[in-house]
Amino acid sequence: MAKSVLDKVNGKKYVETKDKKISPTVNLSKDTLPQKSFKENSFKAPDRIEPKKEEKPQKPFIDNYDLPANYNTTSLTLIARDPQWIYAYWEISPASIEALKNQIGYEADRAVYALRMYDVTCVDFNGHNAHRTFDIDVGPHANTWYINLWADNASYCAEVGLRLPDGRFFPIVRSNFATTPRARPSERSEQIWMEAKPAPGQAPFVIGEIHKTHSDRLSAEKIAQQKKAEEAKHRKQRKIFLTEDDVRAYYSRLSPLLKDIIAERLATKSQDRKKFGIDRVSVYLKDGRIRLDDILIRGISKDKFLRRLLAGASEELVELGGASESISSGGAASEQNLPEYRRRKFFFEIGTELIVYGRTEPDAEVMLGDKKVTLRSDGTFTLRFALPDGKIPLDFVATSNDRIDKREISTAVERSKTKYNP
Amino acid sequence: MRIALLAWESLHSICVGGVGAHVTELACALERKGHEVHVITRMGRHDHAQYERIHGVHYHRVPFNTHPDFVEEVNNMCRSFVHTVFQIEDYMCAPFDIIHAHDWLTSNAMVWIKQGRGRRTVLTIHSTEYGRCGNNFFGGRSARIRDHERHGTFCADKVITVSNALKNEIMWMYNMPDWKAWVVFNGVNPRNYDGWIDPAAVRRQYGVGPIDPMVLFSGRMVYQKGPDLLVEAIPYILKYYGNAKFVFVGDGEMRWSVEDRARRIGVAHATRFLGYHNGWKLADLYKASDCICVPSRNEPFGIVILEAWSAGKPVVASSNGGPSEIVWHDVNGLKIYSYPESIAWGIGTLFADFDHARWMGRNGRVAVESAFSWDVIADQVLRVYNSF
Repeated sequence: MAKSVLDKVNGKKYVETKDKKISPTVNLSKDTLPQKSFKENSFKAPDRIEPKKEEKPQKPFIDNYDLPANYNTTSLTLIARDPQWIYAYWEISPASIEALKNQIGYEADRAVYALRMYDVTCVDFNGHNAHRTFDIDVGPHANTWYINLWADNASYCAEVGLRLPDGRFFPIVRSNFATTPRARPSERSEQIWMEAKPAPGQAPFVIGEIHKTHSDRLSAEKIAQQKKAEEAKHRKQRKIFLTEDDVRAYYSRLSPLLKDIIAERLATKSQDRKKFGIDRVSVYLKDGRIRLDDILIRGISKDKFLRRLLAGASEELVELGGASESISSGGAASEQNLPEYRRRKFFFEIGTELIVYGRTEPDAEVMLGDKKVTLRSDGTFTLRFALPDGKIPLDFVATSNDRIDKREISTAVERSKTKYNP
Repeated sequence: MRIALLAWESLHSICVGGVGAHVTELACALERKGHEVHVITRMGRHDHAQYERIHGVHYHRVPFNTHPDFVEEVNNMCRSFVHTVFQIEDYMCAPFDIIHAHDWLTSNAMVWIKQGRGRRTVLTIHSTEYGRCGNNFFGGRSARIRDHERHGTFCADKVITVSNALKNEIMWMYNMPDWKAWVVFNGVNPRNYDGWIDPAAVRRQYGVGPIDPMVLFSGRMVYQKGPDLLVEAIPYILKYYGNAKFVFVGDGEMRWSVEDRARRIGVAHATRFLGYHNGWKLADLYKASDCICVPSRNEPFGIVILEAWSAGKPVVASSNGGPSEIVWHDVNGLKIYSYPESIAWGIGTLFADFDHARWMGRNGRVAVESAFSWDVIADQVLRVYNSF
C-alpha cells in the first residue's frame, strides 16, 4: 500500500498509464496546438476565404495578420535611436549569399557574418576614408541589432558581410548614413540673438526728425492721458479692501486646531465679561495683584507671570488681538508714574447725556438736520446723545405723509466748559 | 507634562535643515507654557556636553556608532536614543507623558520605546521620501526609508503633519487612517526679522542696483525646489523689466547646471548665485528684496514663505502642497503653477504694482504674527498631546 502511494507521488505509475492508454488523446491535443499551425502558415499569406453573399453581411476588414518574415531582398538600414545608440536592421536574400559564397570559394565555410560600422562623421565617404571602423559578429540568423556608439553627434554607415579568419571582409550590402543628435546643448554659446523690434510709437527705420503737426501732438497727449487714466482705473480695480483684522481672522480660522482653541478662549472671555464686566488681563494689571484667576496662574510667581504676559507667551492669558491693547493701556509698570490722587483708590467721575423726545403723526417724517429720525408706532420718538463740552444745534423738521404740512423746530443745547479742581 | 522630543538635529547640536529650527523653537515654546521638555538629539561637536540645560529645555546629546550604510547608522542612533530615554526615566523615577519623534530618522526609537515601556507616542512628519525624491518612488535605500516611514506612521498613536497636502500624501502612500492624523502648521519667529536696514547697501554687496526689481530664491538647489523653472522664467520678465535681478541663495546638486543654463540662455547678467547663507545675512537679503519666489515642484510646507512674510515681503509660490493652503491669493502672495510662464506672470504682476506688493507684504506679516508664531503652534501641539 505504502509503495503504491509512493509511486503515485513520484509519478511512475502515472507515466506508465499515460504511455499505454492516454497517448491517442495526447496526440490529438498536439495537433490542435496553435503554435504548429502558425509555423506552417507563417511564410505565406493565409488563404482568403470568399464570403458567401447570401449568408452574412460583409465584415469590416481587420488587418491582424503578421508582417511577412522576409521580402526576399538584400538591404541594410540604420536608424538613430538616441544620441548614443543606432538601430540596424537588414535582410539578405539566399541568392545574394550564394553568389558571394561562390565568389569566395572553398573558404566560405569558415566565414562568419559580421556587421562593420564606419564612423563617417564629417566625411565624404568613399569606402576607405572612415575615421574608424568596428565589427560586430552578428551570426547568420540575426536581422536586427542595437549598436552602442559610446559617443553622440556622429554619422555612421554600415556594411553586412562575411569575414574570413584571416581578416578579409566581403560586404554584401551597404547601408544608408545615419546621424545621431547631440546629447547636450550646443557648445556655441557666444551668440545671443536679439529680437529687432521698433519701439512702440516710433516709426521703424526712420533717420532724422519726424515733423509732427500740431494736431498730431495734441492727439499724442490725449492718448497719453487716456493711457494714464486707464492705468489708474486698472489699479483701482485691483485694490482689495481688507483690513488687518480680516487677514488675522482668516488665518485664525485656517488651521482646524487653532480655530477650536480660539473659539474656546473667546467663550471663556465672554463668560468673564458677564461675571466681572472686564477682561481678566486688564483687571489683573490694574489692581497689580492676583485677584481673579488663582487657578490659572497657580504656582507661578508674580514676576514670572508678568514676564510671560509681556512676552505674549502664556497660552491661557493672551487673547488674539485683545492682549496687546490691554497691556499697552494699563501696564503695571506705568503705575508708578501716575499722579498722587490717581494712585489712591478713591475716585470721582461724572458724565452727561442729552435726551430729546417728541411726538407727531405716526405716518409723518421727522428729520434732524439731514438724518431721518425713526418713529415708534404711536408717533413718539426719543433721541439720546452724548453731551460733551460745547454747543449742539437741534433743528427738527416734520413733514406730513402727504407732503402738505411742514413744521420746523430749532433749538440748541450748550454745555459750558467742565472744571476739575483736584 | 513631561515631554521627550526625539530629533536628529537641533540648533544646539547639529543643524541641517528645517527640522532643527522646528524642534528647538517648539521645545522653547512648550517650556514657556510650563512643561518639562527633554530634547534627545545627536552629539554634535566633540566638546559638546552630553547633558545641558538651554533656555530651560533639557538637551541630551547622545553618542552612537557610525556605519557605512546611512540607514543602519540611523538605527544605531535610534538604539542610543532609546537607551537614553530609559536612563532618564530611571534616574527621575518618573515616566515621560509623551514621546514625540520627528521624521523617519527617529521613528524607530519612538517605536522601540513604545514597545518596551508603552509610552504615548506622537510622530511629526515634516516631509516624505517620495517628495524628497521629486515625486518619485525610487528603489534601494529610498525604498527602505519609505518602509521606515510606513512603520513609524503605523506604530505612532498620533501623527502630526505640517500641511493637509502632506497628510493626504501619507494617507495615500502609507494607508494611514484619517483619525490618526493632525495638521499643525510650521511656525517662525517673526522677531528675527525685525529692524530696519538700508536695502541699497545690502544690494550693493551683491551687485544689484538700488531700484532694480529684485527677486529672491531661497532654498536647496535641488529638483524638488525648482530653481531651473525660475531661470527659465527670467527671459519673460526681462522683456518687460530689463533691470530685474534674480538672487539665488542655497546650494545643492542642481546649482551648477542652473548657473550654466542661465549663461546659455543669456540671462547670466540678471542672476546672482550666492551659495549657502543663513542668519542675519539671509534676513538682510529678505528685507532687501522685492518679492520671494518659491517655484517648488513639491513642497510639504514652505517655511520660506513664513520667513518672507516675517520680513514683510510678498511671495510668488507654486500651488503644490503647503503653499496652496497658507497663501491667500492676491492678499499676501500669488499662487502660481510650477511652469516658467506662470512664474513669470506672478513676478510680473507683483512688479506691475509695487504699492499693492508692499500691501501684500504687510498682510503677510500680520498673518505670521496671528497664526504662525511658535506659541500658537505650541498650543496646537499641546492640543494633540491632550487628546489622548
